[in-house]
Amino acid sequence: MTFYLLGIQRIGVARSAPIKGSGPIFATAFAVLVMGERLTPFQYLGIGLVMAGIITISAEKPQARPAAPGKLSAWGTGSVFPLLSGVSAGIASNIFKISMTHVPSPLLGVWVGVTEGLLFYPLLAFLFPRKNRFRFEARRAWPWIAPAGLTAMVALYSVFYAVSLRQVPIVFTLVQTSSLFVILFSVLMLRRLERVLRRVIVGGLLTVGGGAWVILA
Amino acid sequence: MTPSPAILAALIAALFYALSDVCLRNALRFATPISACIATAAVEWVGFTALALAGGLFSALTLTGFLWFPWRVFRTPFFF
Repeated sequence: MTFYLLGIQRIGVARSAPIKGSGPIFATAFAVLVMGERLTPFQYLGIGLVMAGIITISAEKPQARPAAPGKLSAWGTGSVFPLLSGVSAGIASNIFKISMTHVPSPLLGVWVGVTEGLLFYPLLAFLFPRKNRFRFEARRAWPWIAPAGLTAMVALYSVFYAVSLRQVPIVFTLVQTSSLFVILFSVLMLRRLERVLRRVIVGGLLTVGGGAWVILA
Repeated sequence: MTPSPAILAALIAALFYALSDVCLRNALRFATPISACIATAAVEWVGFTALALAGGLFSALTLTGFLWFPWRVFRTPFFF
């Protein structure tokens, strides 16, 4: 989640979400490399679509992005963060299924995951420069953090519940459609913060569609 | 064939993840990413703890089950 938020901070949520949505191709790559599965020509085509989507979004002119000036220099375009998040989501989808066989209910699985995340995040902070660690304007941040946490709760539980019913690849592919919802909400609710250009919408459709193709072909 | 409850749950997850992302986008104006991560996880932890307590689920938790998830957390800082 940390790299995803770094991506949101640098290139905005409407651009980060579709790039993170490339997760299914990494899940497939993991299955090929680790589990020895083979891909069909249609799946290669899907991977091509995902890559085209990422390139479409990443190749956008920096002026069109919502990131603060000067924040793009250290990590190129800033697209690397949501891309790493997509890699993680792909690998996690395989580990998720194994984890779920060791807990008796989806709710308990979510609780264990959140508890361990909460223990780990403060340690992670020390990898960041001091000024980027614990700035939190409570009065203005909580009105957004509280609904973010509550909506993430519903989402997390839904994922664990869906995974507990098996069919992990299809479930994770459907979850990646969230990037299309993000683009829609960005247009409706984030007009002041983000400009959603046509190429972002096209990139989002290519990424999600390609990911679905890889899994379902 | 994928059971329809799984499809419905996955689509609900997608919708709520998107809402969460939009809220986080706004929160990041007032907090660093790592602070936002911790605060969001804290909200989730309180909520899930309350639900797990209400459901009496903690008695079913095994050490093996708990230890499987550090794997998931371990890759978090580097990839997620």
